[in-house]
Amino acid sequence: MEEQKKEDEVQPQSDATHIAQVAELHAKLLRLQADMDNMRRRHQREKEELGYMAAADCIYQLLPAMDNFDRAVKLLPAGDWTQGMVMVHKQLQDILQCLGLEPIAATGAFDPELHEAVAIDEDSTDPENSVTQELERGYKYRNRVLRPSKVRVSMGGCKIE
Amino acid sequence: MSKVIGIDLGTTNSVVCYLEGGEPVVIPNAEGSRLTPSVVGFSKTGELLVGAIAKRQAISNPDRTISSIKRQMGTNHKVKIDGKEYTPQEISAMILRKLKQDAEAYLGTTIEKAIITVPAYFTDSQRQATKDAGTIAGLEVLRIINEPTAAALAYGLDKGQDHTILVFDLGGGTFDVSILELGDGLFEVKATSGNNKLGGDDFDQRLLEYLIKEFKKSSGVDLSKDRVAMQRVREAAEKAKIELSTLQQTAVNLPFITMDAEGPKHLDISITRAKFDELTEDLVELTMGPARRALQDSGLEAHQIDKVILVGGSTRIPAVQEAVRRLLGKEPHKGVNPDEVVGLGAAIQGGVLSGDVKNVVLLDITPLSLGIETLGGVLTKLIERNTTIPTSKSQIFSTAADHQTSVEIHVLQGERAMAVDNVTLGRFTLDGIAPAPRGIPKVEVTFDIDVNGIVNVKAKDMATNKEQRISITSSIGLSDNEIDRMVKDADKYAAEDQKRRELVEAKNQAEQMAYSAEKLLKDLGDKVPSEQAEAAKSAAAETRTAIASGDINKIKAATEALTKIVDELSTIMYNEAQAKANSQEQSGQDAADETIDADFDVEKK
Ligand SMILES: Nc1ncnc2c1ncn2[C@@H]1O[C@H](COP(=O)(O)OP(=O)(O)OP(=O)(O)O)[C@@H](O)[C@H]1O
Ligand SMILES: [Mg+2]
Repeated sequence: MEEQKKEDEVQPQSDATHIAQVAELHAKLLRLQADMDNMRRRHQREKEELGYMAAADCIYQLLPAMDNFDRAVKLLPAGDWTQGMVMVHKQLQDILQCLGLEPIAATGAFDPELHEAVAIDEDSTDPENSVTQELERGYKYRNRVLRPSKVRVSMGGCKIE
Repeated sequence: MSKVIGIDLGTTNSVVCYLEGGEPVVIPNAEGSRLTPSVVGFSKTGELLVGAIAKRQAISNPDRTISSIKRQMGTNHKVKIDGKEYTPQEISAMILRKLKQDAEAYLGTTIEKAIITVPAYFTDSQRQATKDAGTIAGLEVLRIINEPTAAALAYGLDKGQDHTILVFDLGGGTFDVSILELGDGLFEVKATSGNNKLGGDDFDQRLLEYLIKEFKKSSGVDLSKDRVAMQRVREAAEKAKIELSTLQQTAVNLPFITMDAEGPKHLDISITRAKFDELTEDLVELTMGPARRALQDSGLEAHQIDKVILVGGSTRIPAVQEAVRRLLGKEPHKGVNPDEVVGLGAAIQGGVLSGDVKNVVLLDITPLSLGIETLGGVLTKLIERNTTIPTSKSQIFSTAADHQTSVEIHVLQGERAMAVDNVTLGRFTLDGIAPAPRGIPKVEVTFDIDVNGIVNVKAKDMATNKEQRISITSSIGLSDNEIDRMVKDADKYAAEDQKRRELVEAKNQAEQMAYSAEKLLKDLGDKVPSEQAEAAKSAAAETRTAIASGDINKIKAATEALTKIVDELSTIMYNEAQAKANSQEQSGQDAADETIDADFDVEKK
């Protein structure tokens, strides 16, 4: 019944129009399928990325506390209490390392992939563009830079006016 | 045809977007960020750096790092690096090339065409320079559009009836106000004003100064000479500012910020939003002048503005929103990410120009869930509400009684748990099912909604391939109000419905257990000691009484007791079967353990 009705409604059309229409629809379909295919692949990638991001963000949020712990441990006066704190500090470092967190070395040549220059060192006699001091530790998480090291960079003895 | 990307080439940050299935989406860069700093640099070894990486060397390598090049577009300014000269368009092209490459990597296709946005006040030569930058980067720039126009597109205002729109854009370092008029689907810029040295950075600075002052008051130490400490305070200030956009109060905590003869010093200062507002009051007021000027230049009164749009990250500051609201006497449009709207709008324009928008078939969704009634009067949903159509879904069901030869398919629409609370779309019966114990026959029910919203429901006996179907056109006959009410009701009665559903499930399980017990007793006959058989019979009877009582606790208790007995009977059955050297099938076991998706409403023939 229903199909009957539909057929009745269809206007007679020339073959050429039909062919053009089919070609157009076919092109649209192919595009849509390609879109779907790309989307599926991207989705997969995004899913993996999301997993990474979720963990990375969590660890990233922890870093300021870790920084302050680093600072505290460096400044604590010697003693039994301090020794205990140093051990807890070490433990935390080890746990984070097991999770895939890795400190970035802040020595040698300044590398903007890994380091962020927050100050220059005009008095240093180190070669120009080398890192003279680590001001805040940088980290890689699963081989990607999570946070670059904040460093001071040598000007090789020449002053910037 | 290749994709067209939309680029917001900003003074501080840039954003790249594209249209996916008719919706604009931000493309993250290779580093995974949605914003790319508009900074270009050359490392000491001559390597080109763009974005966050370039920004990181700005302090140690200032001669080879270029930021805010947008301010130089269209001028004869030249950037000289290592004896080589670059025009502003060449520098901008380096940013655009990174955006293009990152987008290509993300989308997995080559990209040749782009829309790039510029401030509404840009002159022809500034626009031409921006277009040239695109060409140098290997992009065919389909069009240069105004940032406020892009923002209006992102909010879908091109389709509206409202004719006058004010766009208020407060970013990191620049402030722009534009007044647009919409006519025939096109936007015309009526007036622009602004301050290209005002933005979020100034708000950070105020907070920073306050923190330094407070710290000096409490500790006597002046941090302003300590570059490292200052860096920490500056970052903390921006973080606190962002927090104060949603919170009434926040604390800046910087342990071990410095050291003096007495030992380490910590910065720990609370800031209320009221304090922040007080510190930045004049900055907010500074935005009002240009806004008034733009109104004046366009010859309009505040009340003649139909829509107000907020653009730029700094418009998230509540005091800024409040000032805009007060000036114009209406609620500004929010909702889209204010730091992404311009890029999103550019992508929409790209879609319009490439015909992508036209090609997008507007797909409908089912406003309500669809399903069938199953054992105990429960609605079992096959298609959830808000599913995009066309779509189809199948599920296997079975019978609820022994030797049931027909099942009734009661097709329902709605969100409530019990069938009676939903709308009946139709009913039909599938008969001719071969007589078998309950749960054995397999009936596949398929729902199919076509593009026109017509629902086809089919039930097929998997054993005989016999099928029955129904086609329903009235599912879309509900008014929006009715749909709305049904969805709301589902929320309202959620707890109640949940209870009823639990009761039905408990009853079904009890029924199933009683059935198993009786079947086992029958199958085992005199192999069960009469005492045990009596206990089983009375436990089954008790379970049925409990079912009739409708008390969920009683039902659960009776079922539990009966389950133990059924387990014992099953063990007898199992041993029996073992004794027969595994030659017999374990039919009793089947009845008790077979997992069934759901059972149809009992319909005895
Ligand atoms: N939640 C928030 N509350 C207050 N300010 C915010 C918030 N989120 C971002 N910002 C501020 O928004 C600014 C960046 O905004 P946006 O990305 O729109 O700037 P931009 O377009 O790069 O700058 P410009 O237009 O000057 O080139 C920064 O100052 C940032 O601190
Ligand atoms: Mg901007």
